[in-house]
Amino acid sequence: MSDALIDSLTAAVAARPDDVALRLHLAELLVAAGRTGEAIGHAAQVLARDPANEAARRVMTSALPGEAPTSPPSPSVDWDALEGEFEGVVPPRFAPAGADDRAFDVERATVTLADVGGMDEVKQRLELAFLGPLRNPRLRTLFGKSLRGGLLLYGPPGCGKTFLARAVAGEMGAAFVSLSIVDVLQMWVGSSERNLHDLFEAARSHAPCVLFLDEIDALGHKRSQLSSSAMRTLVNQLLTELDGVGGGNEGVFVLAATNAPWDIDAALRRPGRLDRTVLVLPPDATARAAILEYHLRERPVAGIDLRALAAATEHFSGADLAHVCETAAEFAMRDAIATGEVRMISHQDMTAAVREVRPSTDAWFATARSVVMFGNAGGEYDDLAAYLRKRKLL
Amino acid sequence: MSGDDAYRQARQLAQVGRPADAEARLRTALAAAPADADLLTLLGYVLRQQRDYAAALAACDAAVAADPRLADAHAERAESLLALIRDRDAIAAAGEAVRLAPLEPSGHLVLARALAAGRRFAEARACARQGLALAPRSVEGLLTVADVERDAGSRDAAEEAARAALAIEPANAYGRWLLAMLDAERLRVGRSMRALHDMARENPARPDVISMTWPIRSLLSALRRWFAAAILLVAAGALAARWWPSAALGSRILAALFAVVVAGLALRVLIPAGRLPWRCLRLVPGLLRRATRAAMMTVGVMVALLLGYAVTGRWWTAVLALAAVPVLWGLGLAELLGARLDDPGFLHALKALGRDFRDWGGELARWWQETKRELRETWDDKPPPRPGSPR
Repeated sequence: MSDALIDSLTAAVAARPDDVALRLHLAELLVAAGRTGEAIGHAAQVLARDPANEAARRVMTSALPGEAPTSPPSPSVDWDALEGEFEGVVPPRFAPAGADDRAFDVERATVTLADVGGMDEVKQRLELAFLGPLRNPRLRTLFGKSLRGGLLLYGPPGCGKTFLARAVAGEMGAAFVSLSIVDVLQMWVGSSERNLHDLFEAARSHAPCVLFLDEIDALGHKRSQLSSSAMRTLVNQLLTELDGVGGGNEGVFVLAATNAPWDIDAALRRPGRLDRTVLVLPPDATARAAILEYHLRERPVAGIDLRALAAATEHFSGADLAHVCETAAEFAMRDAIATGEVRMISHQDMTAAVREVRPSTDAWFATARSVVMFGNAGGEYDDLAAYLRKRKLL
Repeated sequence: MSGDDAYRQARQLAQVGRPADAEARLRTALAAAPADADLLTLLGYVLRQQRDYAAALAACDAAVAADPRLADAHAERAESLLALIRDRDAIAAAGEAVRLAPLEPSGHLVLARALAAGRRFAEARACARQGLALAPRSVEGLLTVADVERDAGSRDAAEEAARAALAIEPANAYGRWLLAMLDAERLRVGRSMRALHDMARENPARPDVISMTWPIRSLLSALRRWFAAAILLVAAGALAARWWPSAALGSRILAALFAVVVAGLALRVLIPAGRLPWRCLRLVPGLLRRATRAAMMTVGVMVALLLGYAVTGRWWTAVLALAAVPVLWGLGLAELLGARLDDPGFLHALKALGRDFRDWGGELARWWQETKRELRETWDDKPPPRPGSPR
């Protein structure tokens, strides 16, 4: 029996201790490998969770030198009944309009920029444009720099803009409130402006707080392209709130993310609003290796050359890389089903998956090329233009 | 969530450029109310926005089946049929929308566009005017009138209507595009290109790059017609000169003249257009780009051959130029296909045409088999033996 497989399964069991089937499989392999001591431990844990498990009893019997001990019966948990009991108790993300006890989902971000693999250039830009001035109040005073204004993250889909926003909040040790157009339309039937105001108030009351506006192109769409007066009013309200009229936005840091910065109303990008932009490109080689490692961490793998895979997945987004891992796992599983023998996810599976998955960022860059050609008179997409030139797309 | 809420949210999502989210919202609502004709009609609209015309038509069909008296469903169905280039069906659907809601301007306007697509310009014009009469300040109405007049070849009337629409809504993208295209048709090259460039700057993610290559494509389109005839004339003269030498001088002068006219026309169109059409040519679909470049090169070679004939008098240069004419036409067809291959409606229509041809071919083959069999049987039919004759 392969020790590598056992080691990998052990790691997987450590990551998912409640996975009874996986633990049982590991125990069987341990028995087969003659490592009965470890097998007994795992079988015992399975029996503790599921005392009636016949397979676990068999493994225990074969692992023990003498008679199999009888485990005391314990009542099993009826998860379905428990889930049914709690159904509907989970509160909605936002309370319905008009409710007095309106509550917003204020989180504490636990990730920091150190958790973001690679992407050093973006991190450096975030540091210079946003975090540096925050951390250095003396320098800020010296240069007369205010903390007004927000930061707009833009780039192709699936490249970790939301994760970066959370990391920035974590870096600042600030509360984190996220909002998207779907929340606005889903929860705030009929009184969007008032609720938007309340959301900003909630962020102000939780200061320091990072207010993250996801898909800002939808929430702050170009007003000239909107025929619905309700949506235009919503954009107006967003502008008012960003200006912090009647109280200011002291301690509220607005971060926004979009795949389509060209669809955002120009007023939103004026000084004091979302006046700083950071381009979040597909992950670099280091980041790709880190992302691949993250998505493979709970899977049985053997002989994976992360560096080679990172080199072969240039221009892949984070989401594409997750899809690559998923596809490779599918290949290995399909093989296991066909042969009846469980095997590890190999490097060959990964390279086959890389060949199958196409980078999803190509369409975005095709649009970006047009934007740079026609909409960069003011130089707001210079960083994008430089990247496109580097890739010979311009 | 009620059906009304879903409808409102889906509309707003579609408006802010989230048709896929709008579709998801509508499908969720339709799971609870599968026969809600309004939801189905809006689903047809958001699917059309995503250019999934066949699915849009299916949704509209379901809407019409759920409520045959809903004029909006018929009008939306007509829009899908128009996108699928099924003009006759679109006219029928739009006609039904008008019959059900005769005072609703939108039905008249879609009927006008369907009639114009079917080249029934007089009726289209009347319908568009009727729609506009019901909503005299409607930008959509004025632009439909402009569209129909342009299709019918009345550029003055089209320009007047487009300008009236822009007077009400100066930023209207379609109105500005229409005006730029009318300028293009009148060879107001600089003005047309400036307008198109301004529009691209305002909406850089969706520039109409194909329209911005019009100076190159219009030049080629014009050359495909009259230049072919001119070359035929020169080649005929060159061949005639082999037996009747005095024809040589005339045909050589003609060759030089035509070459100069082509060069002059190219300069007249391409110089005021500047670099923009060439830059945009890099962004158009591959087939269109390659066909256009190849056609430009072919024209260049043809002009060189004509000049060669004018200078040297060698007849075969003129004949070679004539041989390039079918190449130019073939490239024109490729250009036409390339310009529309990214239009799912056109592809759908092309596939339908292919199916029709296959059916027709199958029928022809069957007919031929049967005819052959009948002929064979007739041939094999011997007259019955006469009584008393030997067998």
